[in-house]
Amino acid sequence: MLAGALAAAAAVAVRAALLAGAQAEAVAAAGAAGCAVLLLGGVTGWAGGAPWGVAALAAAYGGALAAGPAALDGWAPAVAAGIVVAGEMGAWAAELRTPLRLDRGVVVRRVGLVLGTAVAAAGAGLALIAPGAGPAVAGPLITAAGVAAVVAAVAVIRTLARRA
Amino acid sequence: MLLAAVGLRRPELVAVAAPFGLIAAVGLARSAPPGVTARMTPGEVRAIEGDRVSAAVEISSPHSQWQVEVGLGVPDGLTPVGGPPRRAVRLRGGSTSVPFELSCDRWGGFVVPARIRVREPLGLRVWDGEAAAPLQVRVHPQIEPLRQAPRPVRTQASVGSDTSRTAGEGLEFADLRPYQHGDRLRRVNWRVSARRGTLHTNVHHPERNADVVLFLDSFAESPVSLDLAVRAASALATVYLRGRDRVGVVGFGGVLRWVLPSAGRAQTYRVLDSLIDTEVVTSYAWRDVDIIPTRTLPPGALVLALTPLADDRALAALAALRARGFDLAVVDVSATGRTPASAGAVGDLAHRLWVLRHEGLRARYRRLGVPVVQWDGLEPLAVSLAQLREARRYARTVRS
Repeated sequence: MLAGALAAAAAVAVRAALLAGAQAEAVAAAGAAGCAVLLLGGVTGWAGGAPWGVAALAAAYGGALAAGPAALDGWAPAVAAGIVVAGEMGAWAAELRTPLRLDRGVVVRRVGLVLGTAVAAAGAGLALIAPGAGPAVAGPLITAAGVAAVVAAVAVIRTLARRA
Repeated sequence: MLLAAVGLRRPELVAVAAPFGLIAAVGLARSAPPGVTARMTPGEVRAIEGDRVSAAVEISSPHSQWQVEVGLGVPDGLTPVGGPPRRAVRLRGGSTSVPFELSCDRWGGFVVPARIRVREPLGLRVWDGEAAAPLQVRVHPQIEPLRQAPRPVRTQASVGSDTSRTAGEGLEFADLRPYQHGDRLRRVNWRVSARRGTLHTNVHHPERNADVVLFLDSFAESPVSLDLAVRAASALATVYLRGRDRVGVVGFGGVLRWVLPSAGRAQTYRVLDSLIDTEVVTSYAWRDVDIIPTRTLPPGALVLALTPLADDRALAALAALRARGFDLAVVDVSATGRTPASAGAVGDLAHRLWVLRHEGLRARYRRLGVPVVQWDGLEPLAVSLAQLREARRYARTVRS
């Protein structure tokens, strides 16, 4: 489980480092930190390891995009899937540090769910970046719409969290 | 991440952040209290040290659950068999049974709670709960087989297996006396009657039962001594009750426990349950025998004290019992023989002083006419009890 999480995390970190250009070292360090946090969580059973590891990997990728070429990164859907897999497998590895007998059905369903989520993440990513492949449209209105969409998304999740 | 995407004008970051947002939104929208209940079956189990006991946690839910983790809080003295005491199962609507097996390593009364954790897909939310009533496991100590136990000096009125000192109907020959009206013909000793010229009849000792009180000193903070005391008390109680004697228990320590003397199979379980509930409770309050309920110490009872001879309160209580005329015998369970000295000259000196103090205490009781033997668990209990029977014979001579 932990090996799978680290493999996915390492792939994301390598992609980010390759994309970063001149800032490759800093981005690689952030990616390595993400891998290290995932490893720490998996080895010690620290439940916070997976979210912080995912955050570090996402930050590394964000840094690489900021420092890298302006062209759209076609690997973004794969990076999204990789981060999802790293986070889920890292969390599962941390859970399994407490001795637990898993029924076969539970393992199969959870592996299926992680892979399905990764595929769905890749698909969603592909759908989201596809419009960006066309001619760039920019301006204050577009930016305002983007900010409004972010605020709306956060508000929806917050409302759902309060209701749950 | 989404704000960074807007700020940097990089849709790739939206692609990275969106799956997590979608997972959170979908998961939270579908989230609902699971309504899972759990209970242990059976609720109580009895076993003997070394046995394995099986129990199951029955979980039920009106809806299908993605993953339910069931865990037992296994206390020291019990060991889970066949893997960790936690299992993750998928629960389809209805109920399912999650079996566990536990090995009973040590005597005692154990409470095993069962906890459940219901996880939603991808662990977005978890719900914790507990089984309504925990499993109670009562593990009785392995009872060392004893053929004989120290016999009480005085017997009681009911029929038993002890030979009474009085004359009456019985099996063991006691005396001869001239024939009296009402004597049964089969009691006539024809040989003596022929020799003496008048009818003589045999007199026998009747078989009677006795009262035995097991006095457990649980003041001393030594788990080894308590373990030895409980093992010895279990073996003694079993052998006395098998012989139709009445057996009672006094647990004299930080918490006073007692079982009134009685006979029969049910009393065996009462006594064993009382013994396995015995524990060392630290207390600095002075206690003497006056706090023991009077009916617990019937007149003429044999009081068998199982004590490490370490606490002054227990020592004073035993001396008071002797002064009140109880037939008292002491089994010293201090385990001096199996407790090695600490390293170094000071440790060696302390150990020697400790052993000397115990020898002094034993000598003091012997001077009072109380037989004392030592049992450290290395030899069979029967050996120490044989020494006790010998010592009691000698002590009676001293008393008389």
